[in-house]
Amino acid sequence: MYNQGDVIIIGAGVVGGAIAYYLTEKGKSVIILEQDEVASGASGGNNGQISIIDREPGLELDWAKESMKLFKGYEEKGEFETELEITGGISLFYNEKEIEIGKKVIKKYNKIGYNCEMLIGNQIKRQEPNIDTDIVKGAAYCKEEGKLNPFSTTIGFIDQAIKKGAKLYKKTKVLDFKLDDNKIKEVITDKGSFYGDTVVVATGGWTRELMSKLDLDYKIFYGRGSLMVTNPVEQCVKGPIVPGCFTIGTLYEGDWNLLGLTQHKNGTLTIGQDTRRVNNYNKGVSYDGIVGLGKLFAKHFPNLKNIDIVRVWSAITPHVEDSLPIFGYSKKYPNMFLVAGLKGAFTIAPAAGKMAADMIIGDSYDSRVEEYTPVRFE
Amino acid sequence: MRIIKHPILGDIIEKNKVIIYVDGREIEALEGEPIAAALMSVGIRIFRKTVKTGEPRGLYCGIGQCNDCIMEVNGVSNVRTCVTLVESGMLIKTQVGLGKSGGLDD
Ligand SMILES: Cc1cc2nc3c(=O)[nH]c(=O)nc-3n(C[C@H](O)[C@H](O)[C@H](O)COP(=O)(O)OP(=O)(O)OC[C@H]3O[C@@H](n4cnc5c(N)ncnc54)[C@H](O)[C@@H]3O)c2cc1C
Ligand code: FES
Repeated sequence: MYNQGDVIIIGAGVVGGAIAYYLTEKGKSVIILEQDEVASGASGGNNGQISIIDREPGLELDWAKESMKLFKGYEEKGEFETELEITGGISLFYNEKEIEIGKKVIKKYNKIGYNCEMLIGNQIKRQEPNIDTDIVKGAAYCKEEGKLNPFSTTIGFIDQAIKKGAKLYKKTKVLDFKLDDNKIKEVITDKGSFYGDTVVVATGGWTRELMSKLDLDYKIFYGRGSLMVTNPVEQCVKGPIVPGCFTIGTLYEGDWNLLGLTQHKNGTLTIGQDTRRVNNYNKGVSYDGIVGLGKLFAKHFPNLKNIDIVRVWSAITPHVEDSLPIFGYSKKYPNMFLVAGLKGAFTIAPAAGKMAADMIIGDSYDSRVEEYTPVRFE
Repeated sequence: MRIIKHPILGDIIEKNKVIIYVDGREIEALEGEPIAAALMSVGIRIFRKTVKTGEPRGLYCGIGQCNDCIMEVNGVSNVRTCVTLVESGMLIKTQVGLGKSGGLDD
């Protein structure tokens, strides 16, 4: 039947996509419900960076490692292109104090086998010859970082799932749920009802609002991140560039405007990031935020300042109160599985999606994931 | 060819004649008109060649939105010629492939 499947996935971002990919690979019948278009959320509005040294050693980093292998597999099997390229990446520091903390962080990653080092002054130009080292005093370099194309990746997952039988309903917004005891029996959308044995919630920044329909209050906040994109130009930025405070601390409080950027395979640069704590889903961009970013970019890359900006946009992205992801089955509604708040999901989505599929199918899984259980908020 | 009398836009405004250079060729243009207009007036239709296949591209939207008309102007790549106005002595080049990212060598 068109509206019935083993698993209903809500949200067609990279997370919902990866889960759909692995569930259909294992023969499950899957229905994907998306309120707008594939990759219309954060998965279509981000910088496409593969980031390592902003992650705690443990499961998250193991997911990252496994994901790089899985990404290669998709291309080798001819399934889809991700444009993944491991170029090395840097995070930027502006003073001695930050550099000192950065060095400690680097030691932590060296110990577990990552190739990281602190580049000082002119050494930074080995990686990024165009950066102004009068402004940037130090950069934490990590050889294992890189970039990919977030659109082709997200669309690739969904297309493969569809090839293996998944059904995608776009412009179909989940409004509510109907229960049978405490099992979700029916997923109610603006296009009618859908039925599945398991319901996967992969709704990114929209998760808390949707879950309020079930009287659940997961402490997921959301913000609006703005980026801009330039005309395509010859290679001038090699790898991902992120703000150093991503690496040396958590930067989730308040609004911020810090430089992070990527040059993509087609030559365009996406330049970020202006982030605002908002309490609505309006995807507008703030004028002073975007002007601020432009100035920040020109200051860091004075000889690239004539590149034209052709478009700006914003995307809604979640963050969980305790900074851990939410991943696993609900206790209150035992046939509901949630995945939200994965930090920089593109680095880990393949392995995390695979694990979610294993858990849903009832296969064995790494028990470290239990730390992320949604039950901690129920 | 230029339209001197336009049924809606009216008569062409008097402008100084200046010389610009397109791929080394000397061209007479009107000061302050869009570069694209000057090129079209002497029959130049190809402004750039695409990155992957080298196909020709030229004026498309004419209002600065599509980036199809980009050329190298005075050493700067990716200049939208439909919204960039002619100045005397401009050095204009057909853009082949990706633009330069800016004055990398200086
Ligand atoms: C500016 C910015 C830069 C970033 N840079 C990077 C980066 O460089 N590297 C990286 O790895 N990550 C980056 N991220 C984070 C990354 O984008 C996210 O981690 C990732 O996209 C999350 O994927 P998701 O599938 O969980 O969420 P989303 O892509 O947001 O998907 C959720 C989907 O659910 C749908 N949905 C919500 N509610 C409903 C409903 N009721 N019914 C139906 N559908 C619904 C939404 O429309 C949406 O499509 C960045 C984020 C931002 C905002
Ligand atoms: S023709 Fe479209 S930008 Fe010039």
